[in-house]
Amino acid sequence: MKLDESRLLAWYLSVRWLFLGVGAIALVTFVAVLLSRQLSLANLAFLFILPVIAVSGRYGLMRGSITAALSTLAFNFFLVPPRYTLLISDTDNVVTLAALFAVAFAVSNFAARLQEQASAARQHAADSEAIAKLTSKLGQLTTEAAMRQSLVDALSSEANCAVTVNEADDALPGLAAASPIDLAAARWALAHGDAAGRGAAIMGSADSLFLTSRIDDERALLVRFWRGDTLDPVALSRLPFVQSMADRCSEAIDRLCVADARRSLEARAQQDAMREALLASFGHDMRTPLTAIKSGLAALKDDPGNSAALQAANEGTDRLEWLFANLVDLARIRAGAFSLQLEAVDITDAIGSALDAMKRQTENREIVLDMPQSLPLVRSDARLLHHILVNLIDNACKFSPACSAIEIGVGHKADGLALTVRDAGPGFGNSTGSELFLPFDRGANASSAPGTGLGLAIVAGYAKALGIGVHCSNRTDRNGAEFALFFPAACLIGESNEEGI
Amino acid sequence: MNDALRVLVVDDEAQIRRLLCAALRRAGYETIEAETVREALHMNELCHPAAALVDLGLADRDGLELVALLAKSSTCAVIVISARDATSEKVAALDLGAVDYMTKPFDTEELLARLRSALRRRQSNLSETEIVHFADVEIDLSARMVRKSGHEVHLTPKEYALLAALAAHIGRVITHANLLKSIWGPAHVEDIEYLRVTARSLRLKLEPVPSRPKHIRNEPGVGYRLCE
Repeated sequence: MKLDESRLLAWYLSVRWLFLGVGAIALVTFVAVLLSRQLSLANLAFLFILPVIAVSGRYGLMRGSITAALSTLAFNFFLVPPRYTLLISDTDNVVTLAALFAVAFAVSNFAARLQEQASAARQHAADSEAIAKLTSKLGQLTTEAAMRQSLVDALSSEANCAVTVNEADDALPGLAAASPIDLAAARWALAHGDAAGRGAAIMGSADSLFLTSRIDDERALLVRFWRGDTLDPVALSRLPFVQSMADRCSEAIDRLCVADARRSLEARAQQDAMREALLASFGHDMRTPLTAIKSGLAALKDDPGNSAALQAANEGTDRLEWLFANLVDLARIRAGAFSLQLEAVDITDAIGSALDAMKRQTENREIVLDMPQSLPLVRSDARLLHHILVNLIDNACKFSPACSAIEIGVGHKADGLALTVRDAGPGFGNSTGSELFLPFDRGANASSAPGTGLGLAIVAGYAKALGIGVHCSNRTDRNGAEFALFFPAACLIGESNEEGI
Repeated sequence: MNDALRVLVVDDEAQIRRLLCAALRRAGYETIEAETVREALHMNELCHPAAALVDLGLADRDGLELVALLAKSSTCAVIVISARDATSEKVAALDLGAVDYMTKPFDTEELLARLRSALRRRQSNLSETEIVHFADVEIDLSARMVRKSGHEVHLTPKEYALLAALAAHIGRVITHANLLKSIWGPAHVEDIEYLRVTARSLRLKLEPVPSRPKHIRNEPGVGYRLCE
């Protein structure tokens, strides 16, 4: 039923011009018959040009010419004496009739050309708009796949058939199931950079239409159009437009590749710089304590009672030990070489054992603990959490004046538990950046403090593995830095679990 | 024989043995050295040391085997000194009967302190003390009674069981699995949160500052220790 309706509609659309022409001629004839007593035949003839203008302006030269012929016949039949025959009695009227036909034909020709120009201009504007739209969309995309997809979307609405866009190489991905002639057309299109296949000038017997667009010297996009019926997927005259759409996409992909290459080059340069910084800072960090140990031991050899030398040597070994432990940790993080042993951990224990491990560094400081008596247990790896806390406390000690207090607080947050370590140092100034958590990066205010900047990288690495959030900020109540660990609700173990206790 | 206690030092590195022995002799112990498991077992038979410091990375066999053999066959207090810092190694050594575990590099002073306390425990174990003190807390193991500053403290059965298990080996780390098995039974070896919650309520009742526990201490990933 629906099919019949659509067929009827198609038929109506294809003969609409005829309705218009015949209707206009009938109207003009009616008016001319009414006026035939007042006006001369030559003047009436001009009325019969109007239907020709109406049809040829809209439907082109061919249909305009047919209308011109019909119009001339109607004039002859209804108005030229003897009326209601196609005979002509007067030779004058033969001239009028011939002139009418000639003018009607010329008008139809002229109007049709105007119409062609207008529609070409309209098409051109629409094409430009489509290309501009595609270009701006491509500019916002960051992956090749998304870019190809946006080309597919744009072309499907143009071609009204199935479209695929693949990055082509010799294997012709996505064409495994294609017919041999399709494969040949695809190869030809790739080799010559021109359209090939059904509807194109080359290999018109293929099932699909292919066109290619080069991304760079090695890569190209292969666009394939195909449809189930026997119609051409894309009109020959539309191929330049389709080609230029594809070219926009390959240009965008090329730009993306260039940008990627530049980024990876920059990343490598940064890595090199970091490695250099590592060696420099490493050399310094190893040499300083080694010198202390060596000269301390030498002094002790001469004077076994020299307690200052003994202390210097002792501190040197402590620093080496710390550096070494951190390096091992960082290597583990880099290599991913640690297995999590998740268990219920009491944060009180974690803080307590971290403070025990940092006994020497914190002996002259006040440690302010602020935590509620009832805290949920957290599911975590006790050892990694220990390393995180030890490094945060060490960091607080390094970057705050000797003997200033360090505050450790634990508190409930909206959807988790927060542990903060706060010092009375200079804070971060205006930078609160995450770059602090990169290895060997030491904040802008850190120049005088010892250490390689490994600690916070370890904090970040282990926290990530444990699903704990880390944030750093300036303290709001006074000068100083605040590091916060955030245990999301998923890490917490409810206190309700009291059976058997 | 003289009064000095004998300590067996087992390590495959001569330099470490030399330094350790020098420190031990300065502290008044008599020292015996062994380089391999075989040598160590031989020395143990021969000299009956009061304590042994055992490195786990030995040339002929794994040091953990030696820990098990020494702990089983004698009254020797075994302290592991190792460069291996994985918690699983610590737990294994403690479960095999070691009384303590120290990771290299360690502080010599701290090693001597741990050794002193291990030897004291060994003696007190032999004389079967039934009353244990820490801070102002007194635990009477025979009467199952706990007093803080002279006043009796009421503990739940699980709390008491945990406290008693720790007090019976005061100063020594008891592994999580061991505590769970002896107090909650073999089915609950994995239920570490029971232990955490009980330890926390015990601290609330006995520790001077529960948020900064000084006596009922946890070794991350390993176990609990009652400190004097």
